[in-house]
Amino acid sequence: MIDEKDQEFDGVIKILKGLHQVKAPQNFEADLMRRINAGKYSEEKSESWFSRFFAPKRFIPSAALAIVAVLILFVIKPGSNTIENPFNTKPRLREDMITTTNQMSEEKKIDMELQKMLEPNKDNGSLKQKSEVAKADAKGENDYNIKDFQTDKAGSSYASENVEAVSSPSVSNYYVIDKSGLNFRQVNLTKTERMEINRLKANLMQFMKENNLK
Amino acid sequence: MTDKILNELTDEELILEFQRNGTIGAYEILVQRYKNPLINYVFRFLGDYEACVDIVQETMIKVYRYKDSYSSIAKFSTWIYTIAGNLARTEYQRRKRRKIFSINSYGDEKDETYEIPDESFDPERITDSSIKEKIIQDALEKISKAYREVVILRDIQDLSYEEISEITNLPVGTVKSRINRGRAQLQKLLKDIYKE
Repeated sequence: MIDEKDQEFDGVIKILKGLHQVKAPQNFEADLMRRINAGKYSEEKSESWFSRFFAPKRFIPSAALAIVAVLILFVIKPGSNTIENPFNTKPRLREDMITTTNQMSEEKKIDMELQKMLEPNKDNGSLKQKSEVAKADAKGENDYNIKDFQTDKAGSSYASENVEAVSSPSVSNYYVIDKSGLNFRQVNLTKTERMEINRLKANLMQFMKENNLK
Repeated sequence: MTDKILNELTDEELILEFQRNGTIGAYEILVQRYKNPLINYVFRFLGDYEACVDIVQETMIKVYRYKDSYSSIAKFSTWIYTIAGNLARTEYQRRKRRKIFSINSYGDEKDETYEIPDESFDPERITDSSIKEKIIQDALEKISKAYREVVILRDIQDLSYEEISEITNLPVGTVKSRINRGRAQLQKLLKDIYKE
């Protein structure tokens, strides 16, 4: 049965049907069988995982990797002393801290001596003398310690904090700390800056005078 | 089984024989029967003879390798045409991507194994027919891939609409409309040949 559409395109159909048949080359079958035999397209035998693992293409690289891993393990011993484990090391001894604590004990001794001297049975003259001597000694030692801190650990905030935390209560009882003894930031002003500050000071003074402020 | 008996078997019976008993003779007869129709189909689709020979060989290898995947429900011809069509489409896409699409390959190369049928001794006639063939082949390659495939299967390979529908996995209605659109495009492209 021929469709109406087939009749409409009758010319095209005739042309297409008139095309000659392209044929396979003479060696087609021979080439095909050669390709089949070369490729061994028969059903592949499934290999066990054991034989797959020990196949040279897989076994050699994995064995090499294992040997390298063992060598690395022996060369770099995990428990070796040459490598310092920060979690196993003892904390370093802080000599300055020991000095400070010794200082504290000295100060406590002085305190105790002072308290003994302040007892009512003892005379006031000896008390004054002893307290002055104690103050002088303590001041001398304390000064030494502060200087020591400044020279050794000037840059370390931890050290300066320790100084304040440990020694300041006792120092505040007996000694007047001047500016040079503290670890202030020294600002060197230029000439113009000084002039500006002086001018501001003068203005402030004038303002206070005018408004009767102290 | 002897070759004479095998030759009398249908395609479906041959593939069953190859599936069940592994009879290489049955496979060889199938190759003999289908090599030329498939070469013709793939060549008209791609326009490259060497590539089409490779594709048909690949098709035959697939038949050999995956013989068990053939089910006797389908016709053997549609199965083998489907394999060849898929391979040809893949090759076409690959060529399109690489832009090495050669539409003029046949007849130009020295190693060409393509043979022009020697039907006449008149050289002018041979030249004339080969020029016409080239024009028709060029026109086929110019139309859309979807139309080209079905037009070749219908008008060159003489397959039924149902068979084409199975091969292309398209409804029969779509196959018919695509064939007609393809023919219409070809008619425009080949109007000069009509005049002659």
